[in-house]
Amino acid sequence: MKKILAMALTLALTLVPLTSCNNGSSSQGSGSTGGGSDVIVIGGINDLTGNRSVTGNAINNGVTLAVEEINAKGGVLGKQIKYVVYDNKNDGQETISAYTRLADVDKASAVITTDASGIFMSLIEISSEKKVPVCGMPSDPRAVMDTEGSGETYPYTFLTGQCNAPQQAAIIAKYVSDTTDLTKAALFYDQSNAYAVAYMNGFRDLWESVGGEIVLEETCNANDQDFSTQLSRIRESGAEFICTPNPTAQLVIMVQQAAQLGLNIPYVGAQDMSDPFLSLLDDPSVVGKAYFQASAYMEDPRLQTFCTDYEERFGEPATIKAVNGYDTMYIVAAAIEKAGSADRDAIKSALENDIDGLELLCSENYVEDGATHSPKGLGMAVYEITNGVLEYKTYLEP
Amino acid sequence: MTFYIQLLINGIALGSVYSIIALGFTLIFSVLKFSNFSHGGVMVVSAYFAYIMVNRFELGFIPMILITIVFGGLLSCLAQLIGFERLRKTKGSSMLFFVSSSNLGTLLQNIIILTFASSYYSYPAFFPKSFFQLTSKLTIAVTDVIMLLLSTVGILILMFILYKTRLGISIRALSMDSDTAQLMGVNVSMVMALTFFISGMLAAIAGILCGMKFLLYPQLKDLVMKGMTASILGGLGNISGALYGGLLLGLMEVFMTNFVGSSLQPACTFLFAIIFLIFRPQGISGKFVKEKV
Repeated sequence: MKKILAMALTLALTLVPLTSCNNGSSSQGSGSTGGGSDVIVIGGINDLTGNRSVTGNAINNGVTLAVEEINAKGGVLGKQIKYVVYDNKNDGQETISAYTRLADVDKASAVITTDASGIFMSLIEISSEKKVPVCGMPSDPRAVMDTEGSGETYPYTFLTGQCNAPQQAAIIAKYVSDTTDLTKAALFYDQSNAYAVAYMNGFRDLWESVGGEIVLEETCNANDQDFSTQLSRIRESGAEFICTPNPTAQLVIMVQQAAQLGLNIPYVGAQDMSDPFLSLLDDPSVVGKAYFQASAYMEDPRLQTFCTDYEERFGEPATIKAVNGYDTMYIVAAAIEKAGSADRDAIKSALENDIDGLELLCSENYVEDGATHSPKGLGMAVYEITNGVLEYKTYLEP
Repeated sequence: MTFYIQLLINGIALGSVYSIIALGFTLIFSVLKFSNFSHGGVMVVSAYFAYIMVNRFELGFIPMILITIVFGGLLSCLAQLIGFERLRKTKGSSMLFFVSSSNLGTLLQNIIILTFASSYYSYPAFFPKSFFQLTSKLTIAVTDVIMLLLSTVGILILMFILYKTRLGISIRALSMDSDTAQLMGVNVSMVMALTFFISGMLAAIAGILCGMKFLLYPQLKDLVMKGMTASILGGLGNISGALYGGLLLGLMEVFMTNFVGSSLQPACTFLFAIIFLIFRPQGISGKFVKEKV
């Protein structure tokens, strides 16, 4: 009896990790691309349980909603889409393993993945080998292009749904420069976050070009929780504002610790300052003034159906990251339509050449630029926070 | 000068976080002589339990803390029952205690991940003001003051229990020789359960205060490593050493961040800790309990 119990336990322990990493109904590949004759398999790799799980789940939910809508309307090319998603726990090696499984076992035609640039970049090499197009929101330009070498794009990686980090930084830097008297900036960023570093490089270049001054640069690491030293130094530096593109969790801790130090100066941030940032603060009014950009204007009437459907489906309000996931799935679906098949190279070619004039949540006229593997001319919504109240201001292009 | 005084305050504040984590950790170490990594799991589950108490049942700060403390104690007892009681009775290898505690910690953290990973959570503001303004450029957070007070009070209460009560005598007897203690009439299972209950109560307080100071997320469990480092610096298994070790670690981190930057700070802090332990292996308090493992 004990032996049977031990064997059952061993079997259960072996099976649980295998099944838990797959959040969807996995297709056992039929040998042909696309997983079978009646379905087209789209792979998903997102952080569902790691330290960026809030973002990962939002992107994944956005994709899921789009897939359900597309399937309800008859699918793509007369076939239903089968979305197979794996949890990468915000880990590069897990991401590569999931991609390999999607390419070799699930026979995915395309993969939609994370907004974490560092994680996305772990797929550059393997995607060239497996040749499954990967779409995501990695804002570091190095994720889709060899910016430090040949300048050429990587063949199978695509930035979709938002412009890259230097462009985002340029948009908000220009806005702050044009609309405020602020000149002295303190930069505070997570040096282990590829997006934050790329954003900061863009911000620094533009801010200095318009006559602004960088009085101090402070850094932190991904798992840091105490920023009091850096904030004390910023308080001493005479900076007029803090530019910080850090992720939401770090932002919340930083803003609360700044308030506890009596440091009440404006913030310039990235789209992690959108919901749910303010709702996580003890007292949102500690953010006296903040400026940031986001890839969509959530109050736009065009987005309201999506927001309602999302909340009904997942029981929580939609966020910008959900918009990113939703839009990316529609871009992939459009590429499959244009390609006329679920063939991976045909989809890649369509992503490069045929995504033009697409109506999405982030834009009514979305164009994917084949030369840069990034959106062409895509702008961003600019927001201000005043005493804890969020307000949409304008839409600016890079 | 004011700047360095502020850093000193920041360091003490951070150190008090580590102290309160180290306290429950070191209590188990002093009795069972193994590093109890399930302490972090109890900490994080209690923090989320408190969140539910506040948001779903709209409890105030004091009732929420009291209920969560009891919950943390019971959870820790349950962990002890599942993970350690049988090992203790069968006189299992010390390594098994370590492995069991590590697995329990991961299990508890993963329960939280599976339940709460789709969103961030934070406690509402419990106090009318979040910090005290000492001078125009010197401040200290209310949460930090509470943490420091609770760490100190916790240590005093624990010392009282350990050295002035019958339960404390039983716990200390158990830590020396459980077989002899049993022969002398000590109900070993009951004393073990009570020790874990007290440790769980401390984990619950640490979880709530960490959630208030930082943000509620499952990776709060990983702070137990800082608690362990603090208890080593203070003197392994030494109750008052937990306070000193936590404060030293907090001060080191804050000043290292200032002088060498955040990228080099972890390496420099641990290098300093290694050098410190080379010259003073018994830790700050001068006493340590030998680990089984």
